[in-house]
Amino acid sequence: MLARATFRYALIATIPLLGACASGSAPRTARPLTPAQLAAQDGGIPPYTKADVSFMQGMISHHAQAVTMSSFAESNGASSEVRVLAGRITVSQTDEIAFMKAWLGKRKQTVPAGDMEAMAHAHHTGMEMSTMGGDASGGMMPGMLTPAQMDTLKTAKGPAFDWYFLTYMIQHHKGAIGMVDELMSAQGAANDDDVFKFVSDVVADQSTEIDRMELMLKARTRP
Amino acid sequence: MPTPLRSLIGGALLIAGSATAGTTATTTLHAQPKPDPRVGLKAGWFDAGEAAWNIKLVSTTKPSESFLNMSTPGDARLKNSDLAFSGNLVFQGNYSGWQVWDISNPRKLKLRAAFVCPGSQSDVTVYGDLLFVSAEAVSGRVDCGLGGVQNEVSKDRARGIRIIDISDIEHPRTITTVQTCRGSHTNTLVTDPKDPENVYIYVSGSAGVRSNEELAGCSAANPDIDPNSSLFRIEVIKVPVKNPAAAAIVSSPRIFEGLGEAVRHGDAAADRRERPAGAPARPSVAGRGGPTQCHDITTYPAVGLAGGACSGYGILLDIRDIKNPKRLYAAADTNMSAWHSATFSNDGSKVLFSDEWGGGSSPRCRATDKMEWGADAIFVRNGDTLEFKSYFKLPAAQTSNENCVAHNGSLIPIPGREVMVQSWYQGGINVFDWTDPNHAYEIAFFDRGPMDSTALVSAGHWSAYWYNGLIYGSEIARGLDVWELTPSEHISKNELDAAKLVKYAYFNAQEQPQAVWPAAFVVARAYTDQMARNGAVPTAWLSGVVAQLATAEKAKGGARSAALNALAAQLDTDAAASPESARVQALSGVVKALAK
Repeated sequence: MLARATFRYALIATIPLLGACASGSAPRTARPLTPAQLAAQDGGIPPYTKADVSFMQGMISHHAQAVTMSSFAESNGASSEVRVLAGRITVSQTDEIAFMKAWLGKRKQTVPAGDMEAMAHAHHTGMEMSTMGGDASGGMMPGMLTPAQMDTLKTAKGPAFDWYFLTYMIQHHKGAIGMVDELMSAQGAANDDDVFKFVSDVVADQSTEIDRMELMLKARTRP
Repeated sequence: MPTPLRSLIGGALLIAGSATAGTTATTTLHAQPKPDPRVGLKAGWFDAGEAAWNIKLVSTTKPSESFLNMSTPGDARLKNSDLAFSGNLVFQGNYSGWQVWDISNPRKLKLRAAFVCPGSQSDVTVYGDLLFVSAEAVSGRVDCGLGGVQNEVSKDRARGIRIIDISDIEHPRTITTVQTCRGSHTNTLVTDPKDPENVYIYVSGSAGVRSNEELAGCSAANPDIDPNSSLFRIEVIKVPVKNPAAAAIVSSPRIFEGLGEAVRHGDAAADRRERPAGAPARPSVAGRGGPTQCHDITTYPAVGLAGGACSGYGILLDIRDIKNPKRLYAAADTNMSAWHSATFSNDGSKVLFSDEWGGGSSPRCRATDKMEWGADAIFVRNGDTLEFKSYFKLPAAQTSNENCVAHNGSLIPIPGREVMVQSWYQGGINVFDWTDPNHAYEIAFFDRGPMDSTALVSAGHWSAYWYNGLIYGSEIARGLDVWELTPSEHISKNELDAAKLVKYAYFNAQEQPQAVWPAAFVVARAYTDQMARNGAVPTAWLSGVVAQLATAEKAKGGARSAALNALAAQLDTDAAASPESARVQALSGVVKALAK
């Protein structure tokens, strides 16, 4: 059954599959790998790149800051629509942090702190930070707020908080989307379906939120 | 190539409008089992605990050997995705290809083909001898190989619509791949009775735009910078049925024009992508705000409309000119995040949009998650506008180890009601009534425990659709489930039997067919059962109608016609003053058709 389809991937499967050469001397007539057999060979971890790893590590810090920003909404007297937005961002990005930590952990990569709890339980796998090609320790990723901006947000109240929150979160989200753009331009990046789906979801969610925030911002005046 | 007939039923056909009785007793208590058996189910892959209410599991079929590896639960490459139906076949997408099952015996499905072709998410649509498969990921290859595509620019990459010849089902053959700038997340078939030579595919692509070096003409720049931007549009592919190899993009309608105005104007030059002059655009995910794409589009040719679930908007489209869909209305809602898909009521007067908040990977049905988030939003259509009525969400809280959010479903063709089945990933599936757009309520469910009690391992029902009498559910990790609804206080046997009279030659959920019922006594009894349940009409009056129907059914020939005509005349007289006016009129329509 499916002679054509299987023959097609037999031709290429022998070349690009990293570490998938089960028995190097398999005769050419051997039945090619099915996706299930490939998964069995690589233990459910498809090939990934350094860029994928750096992206996940950087995005954990990035998301953690969004969660912190959102945590001010309630106490700083945000309007109800900004509180709803902040509530959704908190849930979304907290879940996504969990996903990214699981993805890194499964691949035995350094899981950056991102938040206080993670700091206490950080995985240390012997992989040096310097080999990451990125800042895995929670430094400034694109769009992240400077300490001065964070102070401004933290102390703003009511309508002023709304304005700063929307302005800074738009900046923050655009940074995240820029990070995805950057990842997608790297060789071999996001060939792992989990990574591809994750970045697609990040962009879909955050571009939708940017749109909404732009409209909300338009209805407000700068403090 | 034969053109499939939409409905196999001949003879007198009735299009029952939504007999929405505005007077439906909204005070009715919709009793549910307590405690909810969906809470606390045992975790497991193929041995998870199960809970069912008003529904019976007919069979569960594990993924085919090519797509099942027992040592890697939750492997993203082996996820099952959407379903399409044709005759006795069910096509089931998989992130690494697709499978086709023979459902002649729903208790024992038979694998007919497992076609290996990675590219995710393999959204499938079937028409005659053609299968259309969505390819979105950057790892998808034109040659269907497993190795992915490493280079940013590569002629090996397949992102778009794969068109497959399935005339020999056990030996499917790729005819062509229509490449698109953002690939295809989902695809929707659009047919035009006036244009039988062609079918059309609406392509929704929500992933990044690829380089113009890889596919000429692709541009991730905003339309104010590049009028030919690949963003803010959908693609329409025209497929000549007799020469599908000539399939090509015929238009790229900018259905979002004028939306997100503030976004484009607010996009400062400094925010734009910075790259050296003349350098090719990188595969970009855009995201300069605004609805740059749709996630999915449901066309409803019977009423000339489509519902587009597009970024932060639910969009109503006029699709009478297929190549040039026109936006009629765009609804936005603070509680809706990622508008996912649309389902019309059978008469087109209502639209249900789902919100796949978090993209289906996250646990959004926890007790702490709001019932308005990751839910369905029900709208009433007033001409060309949509008016929000209420939200509906899976009412049983799931654990944090179960990805759960609103996902794909379809109407169950019960005359006089809007009843649909919907999937909620690891929240299972449920059946609910949204006849009254202000008060949707659950009437059946099936759920399994999480894959793993200690971690979120992606699984659950991607889609659940009614097809010719049974419900089919694509389970991401566990295969294909088949269920039969059982009569209950919420659905009578007559209503189920009436629903089973509606047979489709083929079914793609995103090209919604209009249900039409043949003239049958069971359809009439479905209406009388509904009136009995609603309790709005006088009991004695209803008993009389039911008795007359029974008498007519026993009678033959002219006597039957006479009895039916007399009943119809009475119904027509009584309809105006009835608290169930619409339903009485619908019943009269069936009775008249039976009299012929």
